Amino acid sequence: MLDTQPNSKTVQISDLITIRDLNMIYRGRGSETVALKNANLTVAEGEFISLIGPSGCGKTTLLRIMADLIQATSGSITIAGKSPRQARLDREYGYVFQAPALLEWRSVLKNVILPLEIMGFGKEERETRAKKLLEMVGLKQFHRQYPWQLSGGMQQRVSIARALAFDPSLLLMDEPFGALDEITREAMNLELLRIWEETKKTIVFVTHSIPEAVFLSSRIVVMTPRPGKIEKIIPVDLPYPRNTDTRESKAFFDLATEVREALRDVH
Amino acid sequence: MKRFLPILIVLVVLILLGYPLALLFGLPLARRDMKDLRKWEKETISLSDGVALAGQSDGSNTVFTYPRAIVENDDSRTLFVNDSSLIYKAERPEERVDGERADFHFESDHGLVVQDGVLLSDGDYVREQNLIRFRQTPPRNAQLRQYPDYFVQDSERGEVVLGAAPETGARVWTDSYTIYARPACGDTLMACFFSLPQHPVPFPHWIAARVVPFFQKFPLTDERNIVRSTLYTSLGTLSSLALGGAVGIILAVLFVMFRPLERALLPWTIASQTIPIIALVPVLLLVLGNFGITIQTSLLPTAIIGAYICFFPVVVSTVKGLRAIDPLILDLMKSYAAKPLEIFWKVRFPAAVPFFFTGLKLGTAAALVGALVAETESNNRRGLGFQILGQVQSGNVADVWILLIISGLLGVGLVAFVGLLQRLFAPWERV
Ligand SMILES: Nc1ncnc2c1ncn2[C@@H]1O[C@H](COP(=O)(O)OP(=O)(O)OP(=O)(O)O)[C@@H](O)[C@H]1O
Ligand SMILES: [Mg+2]
Repeated sequence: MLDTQPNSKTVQISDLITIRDLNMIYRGRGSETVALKNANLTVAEGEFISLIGPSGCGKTTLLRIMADLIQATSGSITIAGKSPRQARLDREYGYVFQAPALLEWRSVLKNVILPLEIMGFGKEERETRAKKLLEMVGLKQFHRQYPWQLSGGMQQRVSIARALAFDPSLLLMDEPFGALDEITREAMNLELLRIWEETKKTIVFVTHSIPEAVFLSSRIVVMTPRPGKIEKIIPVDLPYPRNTDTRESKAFFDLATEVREALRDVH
Repeated sequence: MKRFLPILIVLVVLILLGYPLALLFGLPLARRDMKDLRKWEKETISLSDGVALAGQSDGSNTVFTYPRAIVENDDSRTLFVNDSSLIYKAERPEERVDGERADFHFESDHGLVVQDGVLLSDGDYVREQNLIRFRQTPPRNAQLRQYPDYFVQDSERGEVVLGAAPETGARVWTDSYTIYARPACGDTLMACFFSLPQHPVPFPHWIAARVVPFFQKFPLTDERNIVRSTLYTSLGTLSSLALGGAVGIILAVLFVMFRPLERALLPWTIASQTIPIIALVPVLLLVLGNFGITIQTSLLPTAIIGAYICFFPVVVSTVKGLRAIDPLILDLMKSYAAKPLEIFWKVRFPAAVPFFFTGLKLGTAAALVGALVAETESNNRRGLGFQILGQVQSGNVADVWILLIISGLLGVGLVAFVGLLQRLFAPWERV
């Protein structure tokens, strides 16, 4: 089931993320949490991978290791052939956190501009890019507002626009649509798919929603808690571009059922 | 309008509270005035009224008392025994009581001897005609007097002591004497309250009535003019805030950037705040005075004193602001591979701005106190501090209250001003 070839010495150029025997143990005072145990995963360039699993199974942990926000206890991981640290320094990825993490002293527009400022984009390009993205997430007329003037879902959309702003080839998204209503969520799903297809990005996407995972992903990684393990990887053989009709197809329901059952086994 | 409603309510409550407070503090004084005989009106009774009798001798008594009477002790002809008048004439005290001599000469060879207003008993001295020899040497600088026939022991109670007991049945009387008629302040407690010369808490409308004259007391050309004093003090406080704020930010940034520096300096910073300002001000003024910087010529001493007290809340608050960053935002910056300086300018610094202003607001009241104290401790005629001191010394209670209100309003105004700055520099904050 796992798509790894541990003995192969050749590194395929199309493999963007390679994770080998990754372990993550959080050591607290007198307690140890095994957040990831022997995780193996390869993500090809241009893939849309979803991580799904019960709360506390290590999805965020895995994403944070990829982003070099924390370091794994053991095992190896490469991003675009580099160490996560180098990938981070090279600004290979955009990260959407589980919470919006907006800077409260910056207007919505300025928040989206933040990475562009840091990465040295020109003043005009910053504005045009940020405004375009805000329009895309449906917040064009809110660009002057401060984050607290926005609803939770709107804030999360700003943070998505921000992650997209500098057009990273890899997107790490931690439950980006968790705070959205069903309708907005579906619209955002379509939008994300459009961007993904257009820009040929690679996306690692954490979600708790089975339909969302099935609708978006090319593969779904099902994880189990205590200790956090990759239980199963389900390929989603639904043709792209997907649209609202996809959601109503039989194949869609079958896949959803498969994921649901895999998750049920987990419990 | 809605924003001023709370202030309005507080104002009305304070004004309404002023009346019971004025009564609470004034009525005890009124009662005291009412009971204090010294403050009663006096009325002179003459012989024709027929009440001048002090008493009748039983052959041995020497003390006679007039009911509710005052016997003026400088009148040598007030007292009679039957038809003969007694002599009440204070002798010139002996030249000097040097604490060593025990012998004194008086003009007459009989009478009562008084030391410092207290009648001495025969046992205290031995009389040899004009010579009085004390058994114990009177203390240095004591006042010795001899009264030939009688001594007014208690003029208010009308108590006189005769040098010798008159013969049995002799009448002791005066041709005129004064009695206590009624309290000078009035017949009722309220009347006495209203006639108090100084009310510790005046009625609010009395204070209000003083406002215009108070403002007109000095012309604008005089540096003691109240508007000028207020401006001067606000200028002092504002320069304190500027200096204290700058020092506060710099220290806070240094503390956050270099932990060891914080560990080294923080105890000193705290210790600096335990020195009472009132003790510090004269020293500071003295030191600065040596460099020719005085309050008369420069705002700098006031600014330094005010800054000295107001920088501390700024440091504490700003350090907290620089540190209290959502770890997720630090992760975000890390994901952008942002440099430490970028993290500082784009995250820590803006996050600390509201904290800085909160600290500055806390420091404002302290800086105002600093400025006021500095003004009172220098012989400077400018500023509210000088005004308060002056009015307290001259006992203008209503004016002191006006100054208190002005200082309070100034404090509120300055805090509001800092709040305005905060709104300007931290526009993202919800209000
Ligand atoms: N900083 C940390 N220190 C200690 N333990 C941690 C830390 N972060 C996560 N854990 C533990 O690691 C495990 C996995 O956490 P993680 O946040 O990766 O879960 P998750 O799959 O993202 O859950 P959710 O769906 O609720 O977001 C949990 O048991 C959690 O208690
Ligand atoms: Mg998570």
